[in-house]
Amino acid sequence: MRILVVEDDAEIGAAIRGRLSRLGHAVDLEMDGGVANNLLAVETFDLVVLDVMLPTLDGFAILRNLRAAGNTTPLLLLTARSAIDDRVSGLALGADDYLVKPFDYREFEARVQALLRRGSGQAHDLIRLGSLVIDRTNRLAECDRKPFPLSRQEFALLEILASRPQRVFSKEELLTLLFNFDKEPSANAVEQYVTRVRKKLQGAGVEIRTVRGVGYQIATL
Amino acid sequence: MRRFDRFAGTLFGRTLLFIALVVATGAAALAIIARFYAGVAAERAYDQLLAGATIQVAENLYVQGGVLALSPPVAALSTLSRYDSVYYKVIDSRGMVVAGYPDLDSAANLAAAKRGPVFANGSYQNKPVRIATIARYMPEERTPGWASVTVAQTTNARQQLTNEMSFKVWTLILLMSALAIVASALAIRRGLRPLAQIESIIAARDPADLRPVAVETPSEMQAIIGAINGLIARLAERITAMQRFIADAAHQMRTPLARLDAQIELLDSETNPAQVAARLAALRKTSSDVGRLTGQLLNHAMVIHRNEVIPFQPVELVSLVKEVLGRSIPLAGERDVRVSFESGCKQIWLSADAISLQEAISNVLHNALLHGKADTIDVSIAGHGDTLHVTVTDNGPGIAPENWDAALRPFSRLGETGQGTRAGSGLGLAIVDEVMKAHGGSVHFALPPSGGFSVVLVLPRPPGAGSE
Repeated sequence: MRILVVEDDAEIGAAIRGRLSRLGHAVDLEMDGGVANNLLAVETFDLVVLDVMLPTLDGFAILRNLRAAGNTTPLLLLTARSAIDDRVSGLALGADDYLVKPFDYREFEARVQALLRRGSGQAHDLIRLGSLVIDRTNRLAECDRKPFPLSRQEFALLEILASRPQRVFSKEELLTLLFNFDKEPSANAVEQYVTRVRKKLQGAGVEIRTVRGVGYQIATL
Repeated sequence: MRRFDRFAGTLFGRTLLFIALVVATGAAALAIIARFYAGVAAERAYDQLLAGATIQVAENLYVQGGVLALSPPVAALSTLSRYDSVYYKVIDSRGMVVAGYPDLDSAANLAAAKRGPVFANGSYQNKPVRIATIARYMPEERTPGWASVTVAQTTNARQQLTNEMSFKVWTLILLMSALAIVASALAIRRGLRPLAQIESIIAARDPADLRPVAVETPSEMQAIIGAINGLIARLAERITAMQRFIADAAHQMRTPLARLDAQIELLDSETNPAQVAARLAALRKTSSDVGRLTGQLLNHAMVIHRNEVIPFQPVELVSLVKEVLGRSIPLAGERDVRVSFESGCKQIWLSADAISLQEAISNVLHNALLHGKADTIDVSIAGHGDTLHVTVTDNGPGIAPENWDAALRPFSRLGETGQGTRAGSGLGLAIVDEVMKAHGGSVHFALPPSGGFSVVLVLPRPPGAGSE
């Protein structure tokens, strides 16, 4: 995946680039707001990681320009401002997620993964499958209007499978989509999560089917 | 005019104007009364003289050849006519005018005049006159009967006496009024002096001096002094709390920074690769502690600031809680946290500061994760009577009931032994408490029967909101 990182602090920029490169993404690092703004007008990325305080043009302005131009690329805002700055927490400007500096790089990585999973062009962030409703923005699930408790990993698995119900996901694919660089997952771990989610889905009118020799697929009954 | 307005705006001016108004009204009333009594007194004095003259005239009547005649008593009449014109008229028993001015009006009834002089006011030749009439029985007349004598005097002398007397009294009234106003002005100045004294004491105060004001004042002023001292006491309390907070915050900041230094030092000298990884993990943890603590200190200040200045706006509680839940639970923790959310109603609108509320709820969630060592978090919103409960339940050990009160105070340590285990800032629940207080709510803890630990945020339920 191609990711643009706009960060004026050289150390933080390098650390982010290192993290994302190790995950196998192609990373463009820009340190100037104006340059990044021009770049976004002509190039296409799968994700933008945007710092707020930047030279020549600040992150809010870049974000505003991007969304005004109809660009729906997922965007993760980084800010050293207060976590409770109106503009950030309201996400009124159209950022998909935000992190307050200093942040944990593992958390950063998990959020990048989550945004990449979601992809661009999602009309809305609610997925309905049978009586199951998956709220991707708030990472909450409901079944028959009752809370459907899920762990973070279980939610991610369900989200991945539910995002394309026709598709069959292989174990290896799920492995890379679900787990971080730091953890050392095994194909076994995927099976464990599938088993757990399957158990919870009983009676929900939705099931995870095993396609022999290929992988898993979600389907309504 | 502007100067007058300014004068009337002062306590001194207002009081003095009021007193002057009362004194002036009283003086005017007194002046009218004085004028009246002066008139009465002058009339009495001059009526005596007029009566004397009338009697003299009556005594100077004699009968000659059966006909009434008069030898005018010049001395008596001249006394009357020093400032005035005097007219007289004598009528005999038959009713004929025998002497004086026949057109002088006698007016008095004869029956009364037989017993003594009778007075009346009238006018003669277009001049106001005082008229005295007396009757005398004249047996020597051809037809014996009552003769009447009328003497009229213009009122110049009476008027003059009245004026003289009233001017004298008026001068006295004026002098007394002036004296009263001047005395009042002095008294008010004197009475207001303690105010000026308090003003100069407060103005000269060093801002750091927060001892109560001790000054001898009249008892009426004690209320003001008491109020000022009350304010100073509250201010002192606030400042002491703030100083304690800053001292605590400094300690809280320096400790992990020093630990950071120490960990870098240890890492520098580490050669064993396995140990390096462990030291790095510890370093990362300390660094995130510092970050979180800094954030919390800023958030604490921000929440207090917002409580004081930001007006409440309509906020939808259900989506707010959901959003905080979505963003606050880390995706990459060591534990894979299981989350559920339940609300009794779809939408609950209330008047609140959204950002403070988000911060409060996010703090409760972080607490559950950091201290509770929880891997299950259930959040619910429910109405209970006229309150709304936002309940966050985790499956961790929570806080022991004996520490529930202390948990809401900033930097309270809850009997922890430290030693790096503490990841929180000690401010989380203090922030929650501040936010809840600002919203007219409160923070409670509970141990649900199903196990785990609950933090309950109680908010006043807005009228008409949140039907189940």
